[in-house]
Amino acid sequence: MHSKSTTRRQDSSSSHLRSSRRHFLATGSMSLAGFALGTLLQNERLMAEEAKDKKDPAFRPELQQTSFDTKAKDPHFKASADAMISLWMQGGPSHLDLFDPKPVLTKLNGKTFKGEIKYDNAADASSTILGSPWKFKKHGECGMELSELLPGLATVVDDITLIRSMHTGVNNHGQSIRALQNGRILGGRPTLGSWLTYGLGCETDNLPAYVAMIDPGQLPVMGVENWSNGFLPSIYQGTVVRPQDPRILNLDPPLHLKGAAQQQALDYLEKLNQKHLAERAGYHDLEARIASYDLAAHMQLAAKDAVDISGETEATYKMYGLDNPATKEYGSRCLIARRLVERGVRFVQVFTENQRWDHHHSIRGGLPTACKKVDVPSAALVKDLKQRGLLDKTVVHWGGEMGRLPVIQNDKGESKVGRDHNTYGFSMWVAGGGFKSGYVHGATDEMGHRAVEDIVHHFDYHTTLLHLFGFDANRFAFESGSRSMSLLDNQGGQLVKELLA
Amino acid sequence: MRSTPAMVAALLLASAPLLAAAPDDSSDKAASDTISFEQHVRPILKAHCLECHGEGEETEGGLDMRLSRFILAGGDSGAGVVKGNPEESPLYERTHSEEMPPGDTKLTAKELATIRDWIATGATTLRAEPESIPDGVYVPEEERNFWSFTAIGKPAVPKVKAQDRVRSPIDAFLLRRLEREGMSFSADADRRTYIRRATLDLTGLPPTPEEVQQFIEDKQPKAVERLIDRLLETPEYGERWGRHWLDVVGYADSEGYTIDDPVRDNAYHYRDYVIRAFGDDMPFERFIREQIAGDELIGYPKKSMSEDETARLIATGFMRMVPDGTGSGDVDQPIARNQVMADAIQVVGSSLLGLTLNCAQCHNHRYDPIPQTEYYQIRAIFEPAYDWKNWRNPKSRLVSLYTDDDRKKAADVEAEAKKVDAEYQKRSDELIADALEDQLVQHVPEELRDKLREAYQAAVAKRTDEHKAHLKKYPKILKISRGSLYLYDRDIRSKRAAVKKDLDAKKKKYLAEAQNTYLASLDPDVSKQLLAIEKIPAAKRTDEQKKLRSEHPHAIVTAANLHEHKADQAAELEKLSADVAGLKERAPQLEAISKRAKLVRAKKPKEHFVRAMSEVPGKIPDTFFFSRGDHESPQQTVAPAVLAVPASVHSAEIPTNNDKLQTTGRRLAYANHLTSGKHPLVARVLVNRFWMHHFGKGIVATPGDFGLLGERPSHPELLDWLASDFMAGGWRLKRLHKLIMTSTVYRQALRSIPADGMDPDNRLLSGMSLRRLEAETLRDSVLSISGKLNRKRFGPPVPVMADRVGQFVIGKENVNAGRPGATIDMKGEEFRRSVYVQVRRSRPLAMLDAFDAPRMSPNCESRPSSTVAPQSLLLMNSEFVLAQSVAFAERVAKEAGGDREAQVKRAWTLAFCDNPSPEQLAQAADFLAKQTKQLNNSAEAKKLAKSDKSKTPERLALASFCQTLLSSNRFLYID
Repeated sequence: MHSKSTTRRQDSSSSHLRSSRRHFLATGSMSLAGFALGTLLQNERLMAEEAKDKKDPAFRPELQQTSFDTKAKDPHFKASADAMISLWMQGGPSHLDLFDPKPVLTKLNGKTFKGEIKYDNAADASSTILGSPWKFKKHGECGMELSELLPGLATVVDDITLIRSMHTGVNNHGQSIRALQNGRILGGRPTLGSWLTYGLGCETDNLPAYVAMIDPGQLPVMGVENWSNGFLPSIYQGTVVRPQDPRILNLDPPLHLKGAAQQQALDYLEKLNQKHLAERAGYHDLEARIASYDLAAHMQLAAKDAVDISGETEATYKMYGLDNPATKEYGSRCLIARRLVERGVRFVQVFTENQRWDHHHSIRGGLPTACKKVDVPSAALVKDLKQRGLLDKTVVHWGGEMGRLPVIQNDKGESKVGRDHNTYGFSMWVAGGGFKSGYVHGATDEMGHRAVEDIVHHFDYHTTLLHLFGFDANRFAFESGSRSMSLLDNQGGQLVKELLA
Repeated sequence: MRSTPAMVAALLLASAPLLAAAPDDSSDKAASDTISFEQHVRPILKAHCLECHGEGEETEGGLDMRLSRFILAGGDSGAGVVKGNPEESPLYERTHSEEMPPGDTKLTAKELATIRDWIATGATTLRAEPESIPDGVYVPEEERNFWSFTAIGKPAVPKVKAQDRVRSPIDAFLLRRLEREGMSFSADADRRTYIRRATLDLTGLPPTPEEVQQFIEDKQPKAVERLIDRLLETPEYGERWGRHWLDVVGYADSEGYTIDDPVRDNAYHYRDYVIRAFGDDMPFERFIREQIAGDELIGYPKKSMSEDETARLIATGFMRMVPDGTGSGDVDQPIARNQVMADAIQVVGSSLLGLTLNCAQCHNHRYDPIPQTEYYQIRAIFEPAYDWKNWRNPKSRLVSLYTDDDRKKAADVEAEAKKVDAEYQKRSDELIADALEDQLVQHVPEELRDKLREAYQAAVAKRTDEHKAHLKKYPKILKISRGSLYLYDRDIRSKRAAVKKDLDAKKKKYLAEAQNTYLASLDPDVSKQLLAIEKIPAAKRTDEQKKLRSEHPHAIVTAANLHEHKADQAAELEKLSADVAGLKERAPQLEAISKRAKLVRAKKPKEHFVRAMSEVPGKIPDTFFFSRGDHESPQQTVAPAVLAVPASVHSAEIPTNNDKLQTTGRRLAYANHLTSGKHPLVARVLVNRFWMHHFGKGIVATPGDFGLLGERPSHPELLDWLASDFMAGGWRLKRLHKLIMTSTVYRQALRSIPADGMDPDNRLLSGMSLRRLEAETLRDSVLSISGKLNRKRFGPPVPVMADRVGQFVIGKENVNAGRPGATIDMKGEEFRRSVYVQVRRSRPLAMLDAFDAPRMSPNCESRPSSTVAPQSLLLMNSEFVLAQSVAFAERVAKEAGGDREAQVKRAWTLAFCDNPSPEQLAQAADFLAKQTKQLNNSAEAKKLAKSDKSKTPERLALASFCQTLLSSNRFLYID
C-alpha cells in the first residue's frame, strides 16, 4: 500500500477551510485526516515520528514502528469499488417471506416438517411448516422474484444482486453478527469498516473515515463491538453519528452552548491565549494550540454540513420517503449516508434498532412494519447513488446476520406465530461497486432451511468484497508482533466470481 | 510504547537552525581530517556486514571484516580492499553496486562516501591492530570506551564567572557551558510561577490559592527549601512520581497480547508498592533490589510472611508487568512465553541499563557491544523464575496471602456450600422431570407419552432410531435441559395467568351470589340494618349494633367465610388458589439455590493474591542460545552472566546456583551488581530520568538508550556528578529533588526565545522550558480545581468501560448482549486520581489517551507531548470537561458569593494561581455579561434551568467562563 494524493469525490472544502488549513500549517503542525477522537492525534504523532526518523542520522530498521494513518492509500490492485454503505438489518430478516419464494412451503403449510432442523429456542419450537403469508412476484427486466412486502426494492432489482445462499452456521445473533461484521464468531476483532479504512484510508481530511449511524432506538446486539477496531490501531474505529444532537460526541457542544454561545467562548479563549502568547513570544506550541481550536471549529462546520440535509431537493426528500412518518427517520439516515460517501467517507454502516428483524413471534404484524421503515429508503439510496454516478464505485449492502426457519415458532394462533433463527441459509442483497446487477445468486433447499447451491459463507463474501476494493484477501493482513492477522483469518474464503460484474 | 520524545515540538522547530551548541563530547562531528577504520568505517561494517562476515556462526565467502587487515587479506575471492583505489576494491564496488549487503537495506550515500574516502586515503587505522582476536564479537577500544560504559566519576565543580548565580554545583556545571556559549541563566521566576511549577512537578496537582498566598508572604530565608520539604511530604508526591516509574515499568491492569486482553485483578498491589516506596523515599538501590529479587531477599518460597516480606514479594511485580498472553487458550504457548521473557528483558534494559538489549535477541547488537550470546546470559539470570518449559500461567502463579487460619475457615465454608450444591442438583433433577411431564401432557398425544419419556430419558448415545424419530417430531421435549428451563417458564407464566383469571372471576361471582342469598334469607329490615352497620367503624358501633352483628357472624360474605355459605364453592376456590401458587417458574427456583450457595461462599475470608516473580526450588532450567532468536533453534547452553563491556569497570559473578539459598540466587546477585554503586549505567540512567521529569528533557535526550544510537549527554560531567552524588547520598530521591529544585537552574523564569534561534531545544537551560501538563496531571488538576477530586489512596483500580458510542470512560461495565445497560453509580470513585484508574491495554481512557498517556507494549521510556485538534475538541465538548466546569462554577459561586468580580478572581486564582489584571478582569466581566445574555435568550438553556434549578443562565455563563480557563494555554502549560 502506498500513499497517494487525496482524490476527493467532490471538492467540498470551502475556501476558508483551505485557508484555515494553510494557517494551521504555517504554525507548524501537520495536515489532518478523519476525526474519530484519536485519529488526528495518531496521524500527527505518527507523521511526527516519520519526520523524526528521517532526521535521525542513523536509522534503526529493527526499531522501526509501522506507522498508521487514514491518508488515502492504494490497494493491491486496481479496485472497482472505493466506498461502501452497509444497511445493517440486525435480528434476521425472514428470507422466506422477503427474498426466497418457496411454493412447497405454501403447499405443505401446517404439515409436519420431515427433515432435520436446527432450532434456537426449543421451548417454543415446533415441526409445523409455515408457508409464507405473503405473495411473491417477478420484477424488472431480470424477473427477480420478491415478496409484496418490498415494493420499493422491486423498482431497483435490475441494479442489485440478490444472494440467496448465505451461510454462517452459528445460530446465535452475537456470533453470527461477528461472523459478518468481523469475519469470525469471536469478539475483539476489527470490523469490516476498520479493515477497509486500515487498507485504504479516507478520501477526506475533514470527516471520519468510518461512520456508524445508529438508530434512535436501542443499539443492536453486540453494541459498540459493531464498529470496533479490535486489534487494529484505534484510528480505525468507527465514529458514531448519532440520530440526534449532539450528532458526534466531542465534536458537538451540548445544546445550550451550540452556536453563538460556543463561538463567544472561543473568541474569549482566543483573547486569553493571545495575551498569554504575547508574554511568551516564539513558543510555537502555544501558537499551534491556538490554531488547533480554529481547526476544531472548522471540523465542526464540515461535519455539520455533511449531516445537514436541508439543502436537498423536494424530489430527493420524496424519493427517500422523508414525507412519510414511517420512513422519515430511516430515510434521513440513508440520505446522510449518501452525503458522507459523497464527501469521501470510506465506509458507512446504517443500523436498525436492536432485534428489529427478530421475529420469533407475531411475524404477520412485525415483518411488514419493519419493511415499511426501510424498504423505500434503501431502494432510494441505490437510485440516488446511480443517478449521481456514484453507484459504480460504491458498494451498497442490505442484510442481517441470519434468516428464519421454514417452521412455526410459538404456535399459539395465527397472529402469534413466528419463525426461529436460521443461519444455514439466508438472503441479502448487494449493489454497485463492481457487483453484478439484476442477478440472483445461489439457492436454498426446497424448504428454504439450508443453502445448497453456490453457498456463500461469510468469508467468501468478505473475500469478494475485499477483491472489489482491490485487495487479495489472503495477503491483506495486519502484522502484530510475531503474528499476522487478517479479516479472513485463514478460513479459506473463496472469491465468488459469479457475483462480479 | 517506544520512546517518542516531544516530537511535535521538534517538528515545529525543524526549520529553525539546529542546536548551535552541540553537546560537549559529541562524537558526531568529524573528528579529524583523516578517516580511520576504527572511528569511521567499522561502525558502518558493524551495522551492515559483520553478522555474516566475522561475528556470525558462519563467515560468508571466507571474508572476515572485523579488522582492517582481515579485509585487506580478503576472502575466497581475493582482497577486499585495494589501498588507494576504491573502484578496484570489492568492499566499495560491491556495496556501491548494491550487490551487498543483501536484503532491502543498502548503504547510504554518506556511508559509501566514507568507505570510498577511507580506501582512497590509504585505508588507515589509528593504531596497530591486535595480533589475534577470539572468534565471535570483537569489541575494539572505541566501543569499550564509549562514554556510558566508563566508570562514573565525580568531576570537580567548575568555577564560573557568574558565581552569584550558583546555588549548587549543578548550577556551576550548567553555567560553565552557558558562559562558553556566551549565554547565561535567566532571572529567577516570581514566586507564583515557582510554586505552581514546583507543586505540579512534585504532586501533579496545582497549589491552592491559599498555598500560593502563604508562599508569597513567607519572607523568611529558605522559603523555597521549606516549600520543597512540605511538598515532598504530601501523599500526592508518591502518586505523582510513582506514576513516572510505572511508565518505564509498563504497569498495566490487563494481560494484553491477545485480543480479549483479560484483566489483571491483582496488579494494583505492585502499583501501591511503588507509590509507597516513593512516598517513603525508599533508597533506590533497595527499591531496585526488591523489584528484581524481592523473593530471594526474603527466602521465598515460605509459608507465612510478615507485612514487610509481603511487600518485597509484591515488588517483584516489576518483572511481571509486561504483556502476558500465556493465560489465554488461543495462543501458541512457546511463542507467548518467550515473548514474556523478551519483553521483561527489554524493560530491564530500558529502565535500568539504558540499553536496547532486545536488539541482541536475534543477532549481535549492530551498534552496541552486546553480542547475542550475552543477551542469553542475561536471560539465564531470569530463566529459573520464568522457566518457559515448565511455565506457570498467570493464574496458577498467583501467590495467595491466606494464612493457615484463613485456609481452615475457607474449607469449613466450602463444606457448607457443598451441601447447598447437592440440594441444587436434586432440585434441578426434579424440575427437569416436572417440565418433561408438563410438556408431555401439553403437546404429546397420550399414547405416545411413555415412548417419548423413555426416549428423552435414554442416554443420548444409546437412543434408538425410534427414540430419535419421536424426539425429532417433538423438539420441545428433546431440548429440555437445566440450561433451557427458563425458556419453558414462559408457558408457566401464561398458564398461571389463565388460572388466576379464572380464580378471580369465580371468586367475584361466588361471593356476590352467596351474599345475595344470605341477605335475601333474612328479614329485609334486618338485612338493611346489617348492611348499614358494616359501614360504621367497629369502635363507633352502639351496643345494640354490636349485638345484632354478633348474631349474624357470617353476614358479610368473604373468601374466608364462604365455606359457611357454600362449602363446595369455597373448596373450588381454594383449589384454584393452590393451583396458582403451584405454578412456579422453574429457572428462578434453581437460581435462588445457586444464589444461596454463593452467599455461603461469600463468607470465606477475602483472599488476596499477589502477582510475583519466584522460583521453584530445585528446578534449574537450562538456558539455550537461540539461533536467530528462534526458540525452536536452541544451540549451546549459556550460563548466567552480566554484560561484559559495562562490567569491565566492575565485574560480577552470577552463580549458576547459590547453595546458601533455596533458589538459584541469580537475580539476587544481579540486583546486587546493578546497585553496587560501581555500575556505569544504572545511576546515570536513573538520575537522567529524574532530571527529565523536572526539565522536560534528560541530559541524555534518549532516556532508554545510552548506546551508540542514543543521544550524547548535553552535560556529561553534570550527569556524572549527579549520579555519584545520588549514590553517595544513599540513593535517596527526595534529597535529589531538593538539590535540583533549590538550584538556580530550576528557579529560573521561562526562557525567552532568542531571536537568533540559538539552542532551539533549550538543551543548555538558559531558562526554564515550557511544558504541557501531562495527561494525568491535566485530568487530576481539573478535578482538583473543580473541587471534585477524591483523594482516596491505593486499592483496586477504578474500572474503565466503553460508553454508548464506544469511547472509553470511567465506569463499571453493565452490558447485555454487548449493549450498555443502565449506568452504575461510581460513588465518587470516578473522581479519583488518574494513577488509580484501570490501565487496560485495550481500553485507554479517552481523556488520558488524547493527551499522550502511554500504551504499554511493553513500556514507555518517555512521553510525547502532542498538540492536535482532538485535544481541543475534547476540552470544548467532552462530557468530562463540561461536567467539571459546572462543578468548578458551583465551587466558585459557593466560595466567592454572588459578586461577579469576586467570582472571576476566585476562578482565576484557582485555575492559574495568579490574580487577574484589571484589564483581564474587565475582559472576563465583559464575557460573562455577553454569555449570560446569550444564555438568557436560549431556549435550550431555559430547558436546562427548568430541570435543574441551579443551572440559571448566570451559572451556565460562569461555567462557560470556567471551562474557557481550563481550556486556555495559561492552564495547560507550565512556565
